[in-house]
Amino acid sequence: MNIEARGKYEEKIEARAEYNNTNSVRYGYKYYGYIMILLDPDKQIFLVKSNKPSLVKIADAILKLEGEADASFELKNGTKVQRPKDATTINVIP
Amino acid sequence: MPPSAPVPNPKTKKNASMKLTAVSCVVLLVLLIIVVHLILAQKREAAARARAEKEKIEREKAAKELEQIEALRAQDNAWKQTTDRTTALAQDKKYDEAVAVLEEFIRQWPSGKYLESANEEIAKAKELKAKAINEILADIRQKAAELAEKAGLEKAAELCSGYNGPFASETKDARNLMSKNYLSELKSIQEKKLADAEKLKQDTLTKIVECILAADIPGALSVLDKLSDKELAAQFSDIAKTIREVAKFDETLMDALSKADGMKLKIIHGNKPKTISLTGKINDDGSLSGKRQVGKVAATINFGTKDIPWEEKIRILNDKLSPQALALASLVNAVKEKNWDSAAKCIPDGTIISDQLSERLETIASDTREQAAANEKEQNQKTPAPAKEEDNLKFSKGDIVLDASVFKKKRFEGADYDDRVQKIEFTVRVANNHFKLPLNNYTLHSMIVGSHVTSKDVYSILEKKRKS
Repeated sequence: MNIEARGKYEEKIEARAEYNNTNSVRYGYKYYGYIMILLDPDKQIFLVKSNKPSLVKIADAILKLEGEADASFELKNGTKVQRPKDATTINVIP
Repeated sequence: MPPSAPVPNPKTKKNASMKLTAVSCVVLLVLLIIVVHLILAQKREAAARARAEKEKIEREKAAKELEQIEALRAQDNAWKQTTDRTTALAQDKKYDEAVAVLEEFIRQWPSGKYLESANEEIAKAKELKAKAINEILADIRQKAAELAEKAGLEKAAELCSGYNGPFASETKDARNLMSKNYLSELKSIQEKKLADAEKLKQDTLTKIVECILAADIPGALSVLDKLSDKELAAQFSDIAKTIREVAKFDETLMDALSKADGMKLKIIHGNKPKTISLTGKINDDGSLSGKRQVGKVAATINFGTKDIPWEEKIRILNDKLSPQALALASLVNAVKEKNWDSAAKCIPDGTIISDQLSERLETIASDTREQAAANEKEQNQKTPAPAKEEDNLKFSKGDIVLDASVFKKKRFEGADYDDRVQKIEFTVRVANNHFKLPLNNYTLHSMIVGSHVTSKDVYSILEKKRKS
């Protein structure tokens, strides 16, 4: 992306979360937070913005999930990211 | 004859009848005789006329033949006169007149027996004329060639164009062409001579200038001494004199210094400028001596011409050498120091080498500048180019601001009555607050993360978007 000096960029993203946490058949994900990662031209993390500090800590790991079809992950001790046990592939352990 | 009165006598009647018959017979006879006579007379007359006619024709024929004979005789005489005259004219090479005489003969005797001969004579006369003209031209050509070798092409051209002998008008065009050729050849020879002389001059100039620019004064003198062409040597006499003065520069300087007893002189001694008073003495090793007084202490300093600054040398020799020699010596000195700009300012005015020296020095100075520029460029290429102002600029904290706002709307939706659906509207904003630096080729990853409702620490990326 290119933003000229004193310029701004704005974009809307819509998401949908389905879940049930009230009865015996609890399932799904509900909104947790957001994360914005700005990479410089060398693809290095330049700036991270999130409403959850835990997400900020795993910004580089979560970034690798960005290209995965199944983007679910599990946090261990708040810093390690790995696939949930029921996931078919495990390939992200930064 | 009227008949007589009838006689009744029969005998008489018979006699009368007989008489009548006899008379009639006589008359008839007479008439017959007359008729015959007339016929004969007529025949005689016709014969006489025929004879006369024949005689007339014969006379006329004879007269005509005589006339023809006379005419032939006259023609013969005319032809003889004509041939005699044409022969005489041909001997005098007056072929045109001979042709005119023959043509006049033809006009007089257009169908005579000498017509063919006359025409042949005319052709012969014309042929003789052409032959004579060719002989004359060959003669002129030969004489002109001989003259060209002996007296030059111009004289040969004059011989060709100035010929005034027989057939001058007839040979005029050919002679003018020969003259033009000689003049053209003369012109080309003169042009070649001039070009050769100019080339030799330019070559000599170039050699001298190159020697001067190599500070090789003996070399320049050698070039001048080798000039064999007197005219060319005369053109270079002035510069030769100047160069000889420059060649004796040191000698003249030493001579001047040896005679300048007591003269104050600035020298460089021990890398320091000092002012000495010349003693006028030249030592055995060729050095000069001068006294330097510092307070009450006087010291003798031996020095060489190399210790004398150039300005001092020029000052000393100012009235010993010509202005051109001083300028040329300064030029050579500047050349030794490779100070081309200074050398260009010392070019002696009005000499034969001034223009070429100026051009060469300008070229050398230009080449030197270009070489210096190229070296500088090469040096610059070796060292990294100074960073642009923008390259030095960097984003500092607060220049780039990421901001987001989330709007969630939750409602019950799904197969079960208490299934819930959250609709999340996530607005991301990036602000580049830098005053000058643009944000180029950055990538923004925006993700909405959901947490599993049952498994602790299990999350999933609900939505993601990458903006490159």
